[in-house]
Amino acid sequence: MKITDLKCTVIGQNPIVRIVTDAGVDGYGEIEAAKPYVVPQVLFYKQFIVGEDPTNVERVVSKIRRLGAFKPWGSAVSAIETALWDLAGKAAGLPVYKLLGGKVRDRVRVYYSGSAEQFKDQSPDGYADMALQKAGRPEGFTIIKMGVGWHSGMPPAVPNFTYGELRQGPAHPNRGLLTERGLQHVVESIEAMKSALGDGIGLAIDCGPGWVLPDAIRLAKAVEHLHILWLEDLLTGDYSPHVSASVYREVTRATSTPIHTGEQIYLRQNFMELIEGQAVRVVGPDPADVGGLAEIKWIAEYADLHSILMAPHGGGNGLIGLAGLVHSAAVMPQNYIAFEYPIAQPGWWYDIVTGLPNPIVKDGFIEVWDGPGLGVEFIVEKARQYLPAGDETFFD
Amino acid sequence: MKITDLKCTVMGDNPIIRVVTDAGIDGYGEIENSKPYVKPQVLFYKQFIVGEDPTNVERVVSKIRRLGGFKPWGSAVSAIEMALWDIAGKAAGLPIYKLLGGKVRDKVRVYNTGGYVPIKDQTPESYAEIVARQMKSPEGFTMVKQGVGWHSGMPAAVPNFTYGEVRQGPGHIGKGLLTEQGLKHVIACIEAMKSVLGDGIGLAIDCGPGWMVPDAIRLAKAVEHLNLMWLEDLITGDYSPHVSASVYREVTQATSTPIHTGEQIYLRQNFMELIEGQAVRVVGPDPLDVGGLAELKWVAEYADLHSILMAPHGVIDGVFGLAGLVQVTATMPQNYIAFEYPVANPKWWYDIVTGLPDPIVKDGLIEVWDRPGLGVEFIVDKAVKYLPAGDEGFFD
Repeated sequence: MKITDLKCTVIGQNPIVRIVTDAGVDGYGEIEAAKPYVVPQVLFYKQFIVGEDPTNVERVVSKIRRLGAFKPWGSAVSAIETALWDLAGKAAGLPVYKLLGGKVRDRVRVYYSGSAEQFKDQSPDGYADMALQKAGRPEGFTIIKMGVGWHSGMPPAVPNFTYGELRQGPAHPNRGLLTERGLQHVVESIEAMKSALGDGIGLAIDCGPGWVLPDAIRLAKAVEHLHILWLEDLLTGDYSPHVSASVYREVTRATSTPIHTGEQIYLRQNFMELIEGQAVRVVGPDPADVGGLAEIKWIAEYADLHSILMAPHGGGNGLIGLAGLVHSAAVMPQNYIAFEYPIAQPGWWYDIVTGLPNPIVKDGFIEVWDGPGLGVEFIVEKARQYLPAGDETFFD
Repeated sequence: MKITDLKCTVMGDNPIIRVVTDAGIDGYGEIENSKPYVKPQVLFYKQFIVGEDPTNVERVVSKIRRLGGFKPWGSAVSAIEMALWDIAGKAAGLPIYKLLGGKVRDKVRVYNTGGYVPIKDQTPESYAEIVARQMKSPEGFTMVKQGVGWHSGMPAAVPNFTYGEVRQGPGHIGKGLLTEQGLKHVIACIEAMKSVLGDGIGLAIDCGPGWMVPDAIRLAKAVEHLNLMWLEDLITGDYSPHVSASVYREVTQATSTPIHTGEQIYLRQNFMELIEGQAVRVVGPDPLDVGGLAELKWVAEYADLHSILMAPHGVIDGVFGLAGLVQVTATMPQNYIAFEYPVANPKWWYDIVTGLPDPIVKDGLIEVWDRPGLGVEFIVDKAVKYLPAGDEGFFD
């Protein structure tokens, strides 16, 4: 079997990758909804993979892996890798998890950080209300995650929040020292959420990036009594083109609150200092940014070797991304906690694919399915209407 | 003054960036000629910088810096940064070096990596011949560099070179253990080059990436008596989306031969382990990949703080890249050795710009010029004919 084409379009907001072969089998990958602009980068890789046998996934990916980078520039290689696994699975008549070593769990836990709910305001009450809305969803999530501080609407909304000047720019432009009042507001909001949720539902907190070290340590210590599942991305994170592991280690060593990062990191090599240096307690790579499904499985085992937990990122990954998350999470060791559940947007996405369970999430878990490849397929006659002008032949 | 447009075209094979303002001043940046495919990425940043004041360079770059990555995905941000310095210099009527802290030298040393004639074959005699040619070039270079091992044609041409299988794919895909004969061949070629050059002209060796640690240590120790300037990119380098500082440290600690890396690295944060860990003796970031001129200057001072030398990469940065290299290296501390001299390709590049000295290089040095900004300008009526179809309005 040989790769004959690599196509990429944008459906809704998600770039969709399609690898076509001379055997009539194809494979799909998906990129976060925030990155429609990476389409030209995906197509750049075509010249290097056409003619290759897609069922030797590593051999194909090894040609292009070096030509990727931290989020958002690792997503193209990652989605191509996922599409190759989809192909390899279909060609073998096996679910992807069988090609990744075999599932070690029949259902995978997910957590919810979605934005389907609306904030009343940025007060502690507003946060408690939001946490209850998320906890009350029909999926029965056992863990929810909420953004605070630099990863929230607080900086412009809370008076006198920071000593710095707020900046404009693409997402997450801010960084700097909080005022005592600002930090107190963050702590009170976390306390309000926790008292609303009780100890039956796990609460994870997304924080940044953008915290300076003393604030990060103060926050982590101030919430120690609340048994927070983790504080995420305090220092680096969304779109930081670096790790700063030595700085993370300062925070981790200072507190019993688990510190988490990793969604933007590309490839295992860039986890070396973080994992071998015990710089965080939880890592959260995204299979659609880190280099793909096999890469995230390898990192899960690498983290496990060092007693570091694994909670993959994936909130914007869409339904094909969801399938990739389910297959890779099914094969991870017992350091696996849960992955961030993607809700597809717009809602018509659920009408144009087949293969997902109904309901997808029950009691906060997804049952691992057994269809070949990723096990999620486009219903082409329904999907075609959402192809952008110029890409009408994407499925042909 | 406000940015009104960001344009990008490809001339020859170099992407050329033009930042346009409402004050009739514009600025140029250039990207390596191996990367024509990054043009769409350059244009992606336009939405974030239009309307900004280009003379506050850091304020503008801080908006987009997070959205870059390791080579090749840091070149767009880097070239935009350089174009902003060009504008800021022209607006102030000052050469860029004055805005980077002032020049500390009047001439900057450069080294030559070839780029004139291809090597005849992969024998020691041909390596000796090619450096003899570099030695006699009219520029009077005081240092030359040649590639060997995984950074050369040896793996494919020398029988029984490696225990691995030689792979096909985009540049620098090779990696693996060498045979004893393979390693001896590398050493014989280095010895042959050194015996031609004597001790009057420095010899630097580009090696990889792709060496395994035991081979890297054997090579570095075997050439200790030759007093090489450095061994470059043994472990990671061209298009490695990571650093592997702890692995470099193993090599550096084992030998008196200086170990060098860094051309692919984006941003100072990614030099932390390399510099603070004394993992190499020389760093070689490229201003057009590391994040720009100010970023490279900062990294030079950071390296100097740790007694690490600086020899910037730049062989295919073109004539505007050359101007940027001259401006920034004029401001670096005394850990500066020399930068890699870019030879523009095709030759018509030298006919369509004005402002370069004639000859550019004398006795292996370039005299720092004083014209505003980069000090190199397009001769528009001669340059327009090289604009690709569809980009005819680039200079308007």
